[in-house]
Amino acid sequence: MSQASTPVRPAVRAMSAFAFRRRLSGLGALPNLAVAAIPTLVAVVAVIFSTDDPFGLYGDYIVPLCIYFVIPFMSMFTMLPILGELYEQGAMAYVVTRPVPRWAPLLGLFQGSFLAMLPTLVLSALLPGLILAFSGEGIATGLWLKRVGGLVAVLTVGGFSYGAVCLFLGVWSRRSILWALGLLIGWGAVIGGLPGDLRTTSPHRYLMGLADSWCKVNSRWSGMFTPEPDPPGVLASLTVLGLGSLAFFALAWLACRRRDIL
Amino acid sequence: MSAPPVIHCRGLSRWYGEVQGISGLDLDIHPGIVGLLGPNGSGKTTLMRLLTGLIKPSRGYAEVFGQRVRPDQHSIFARMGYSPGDDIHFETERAVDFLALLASLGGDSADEAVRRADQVLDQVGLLDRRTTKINAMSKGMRQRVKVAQALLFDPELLLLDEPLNGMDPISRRSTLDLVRDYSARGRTVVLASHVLHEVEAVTSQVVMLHHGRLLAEGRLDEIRELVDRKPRRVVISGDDLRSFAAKLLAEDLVTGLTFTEEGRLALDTRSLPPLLDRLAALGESGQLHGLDIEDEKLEAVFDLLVGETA
Amino acid sequence: MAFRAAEYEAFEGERSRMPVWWPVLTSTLRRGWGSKWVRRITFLSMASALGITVMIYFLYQVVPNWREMLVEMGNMVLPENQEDARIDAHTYLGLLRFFVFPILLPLSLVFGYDLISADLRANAFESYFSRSITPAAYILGRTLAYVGFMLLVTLMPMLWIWAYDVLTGPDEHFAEVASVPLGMTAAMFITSLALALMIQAVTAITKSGIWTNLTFVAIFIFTAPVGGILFELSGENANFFALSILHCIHVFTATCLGVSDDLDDQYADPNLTAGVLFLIIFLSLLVLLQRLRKRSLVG
Repeated sequence: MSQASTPVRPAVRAMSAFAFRRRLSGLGALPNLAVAAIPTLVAVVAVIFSTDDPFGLYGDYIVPLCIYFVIPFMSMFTMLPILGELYEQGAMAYVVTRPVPRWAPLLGLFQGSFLAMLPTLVLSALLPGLILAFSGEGIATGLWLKRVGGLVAVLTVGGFSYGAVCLFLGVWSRRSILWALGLLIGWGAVIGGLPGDLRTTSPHRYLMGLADSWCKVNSRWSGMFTPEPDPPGVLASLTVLGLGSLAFFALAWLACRRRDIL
Repeated sequence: MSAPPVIHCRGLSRWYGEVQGISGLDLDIHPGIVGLLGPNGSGKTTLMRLLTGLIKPSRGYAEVFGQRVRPDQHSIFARMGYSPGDDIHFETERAVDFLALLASLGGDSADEAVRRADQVLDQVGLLDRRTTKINAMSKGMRQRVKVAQALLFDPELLLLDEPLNGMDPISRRSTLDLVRDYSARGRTVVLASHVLHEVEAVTSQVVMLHHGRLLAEGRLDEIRELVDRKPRRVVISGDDLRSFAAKLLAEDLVTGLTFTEEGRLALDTRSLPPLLDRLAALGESGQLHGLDIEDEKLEAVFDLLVGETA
Repeated sequence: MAFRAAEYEAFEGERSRMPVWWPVLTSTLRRGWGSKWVRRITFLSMASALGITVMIYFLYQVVPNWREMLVEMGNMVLPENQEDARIDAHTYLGLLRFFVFPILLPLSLVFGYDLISADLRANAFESYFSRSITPAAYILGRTLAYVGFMLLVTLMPMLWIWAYDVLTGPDEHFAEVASVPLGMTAAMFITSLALALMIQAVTAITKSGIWTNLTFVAIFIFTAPVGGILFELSGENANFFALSILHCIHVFTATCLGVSDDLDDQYADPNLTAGVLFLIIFLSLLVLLQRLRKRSLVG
């Protein structure tokens, strides 16, 4: 059988289905659901204690919380265990000794994990939206839909980009969680939330740029992080995040060729 | 001119930090069944991993089907099946799903993958367990699933790393039959094991590794001949062993004898068959109560060979 | 012929007088120290403490009255409504940011991976419990080793700085920092104990090194901003900060040092934070004993 005659598509599809099944079956979905429940908990507390406008609260608290913390944690919870289990236990040996290029199963793993992450990302934006929308009056449903839909779109883009980072880390290192902490939380959430030139290198700045355009979040929760005075536009944000994701896919591909499977 | 080897290694070496996995291995493997023998830690698994591109050599190279093994040399994998020594780990998958997943990675459509999975499950006698989850299977069944996944796509080269571990005698026999049938169709099978008689049951061609080095390569009977030239030890218990020992010495059947602390008689011999005939006669007279021939365990053969090459 | 199992021969050699958890403790310490990352973290922490004392020494050589200068500078930057700056037990609370908060998580992750999950991977639980060791003794050995490492990395550097501070400071300075050794030891001991038991309990539930670490990361990092958000949303109810384990450690340490009265209304109630830490200890212990008792019956 020649190298070119092996179809890659069934391999990607099969690996994708495997990853999807693994993440959503049994207790596999529990960690992501727990993360998705936190914005809902915040919304419940807001309804009980706060007298502020719920629409504003959603923009001030739920949107930043989802962008700064839900995306990184969900990406980590979705991507790292499956890669860790495959590599650390030597199960990857069954996968990479098949007549497909190594990037094909990896792409399948990414695709399946990302698709499995989507429902919980949607939940983390939708449930608090529903709770807050029904607790207050005066805001048109269309505005709510736009804000919640906008957040879902930002989370999808963010989940894709951060998933790519986690894919690389999971393939590249045994200590992927420590690196993910540094990159996703340190470089992402912290650097991206502090004032200074360094924040322009952080993906969070561009996610907040998208939030600014798509969710119309004008004031942001500033208890921990400084709001961006000049957020980037949609095109710039999508370009940076897209190119960043591609770079991490390329790095993952290089890493999977170099890493020994023991 | 003989056919080119299926596997060709030159100076193949791999270190794990300061630990030596394989060192300077020159090896050619031709079609047929080849037993890869060695005690634990001898480098069998490392060699298998090097041949499948799972790890990269520190020095030297390996070629399979005339092509240099590299991590992404997937044209080789289309003609090769590999059953790792490690456990399966796809714990929550059903046997048929696990195999269909791997079949899809070989390019099969979803339906075709399931059909192929059933086919190999049938070959290893697990078709009735197709929907059993891996984590609900016994060790022996898991081993058979591992062999089954190596059989997907009917490969020309089968690399089996300790495939019989944990199998019951019936499964062992059927797996060995399967290996034998496979080879009869002109295929190459490399069967790694640390149990001599397992390998002996299917092939006489062996490669012996020790501490990551090639210790011996060739026909098992040649190696056995070497072993047979060395004294073997037979330990017997019975009545009036002293007078019997004197007779044996006179008949020149033993090269040495010792009484053990338990009052048994240990006999060293270079002529095992005549000695056994003599002991059989003793047994018939009721004088002999017990007999142990020092087992031909692989360790013993290795000790011997290591002594030869030292 | 009847089948007969091999006879059991009782061990007649001399038995060690050490308690049964002692081998678990020593082997855990050995394996912990065998980890490159544990050694790195320990050296980094010790080197930081040494660096601070060397800095104090040079400061002392160049500016003998540096303490007064530091207090004056502190007063200049402090808002008017705050008390005067001083170098006392409260200053040592600030050292948590150097020697505890940045170290706890990485050390726990390294430990979780190399020790606890290594036992899971190697199926060592069964080996342990086929010996005459009880689950409680196993937990004790493991926990003491973990607590030992934690104290070495967090407490020792702070005590080193304290000793140097007392030795080079004026006589009356001792009274200001007298509560530090005992208070810090108590706080760090309880903190380490809570973390040691929690990481083992999480491992016993997840049965996976990677999931243990992810859970730990979530508990450490996610809870801090959530506490902050809930504080704001609830009309500044500071008790929501008790959701964050780092916050609990801070307030509990302040209590042990006897400076909890200095904490403003941005901190959770000291009783609540202590309750959270003790609840973690209690619940983790419960989970561990229940899980280990089950596992010890395997085989």
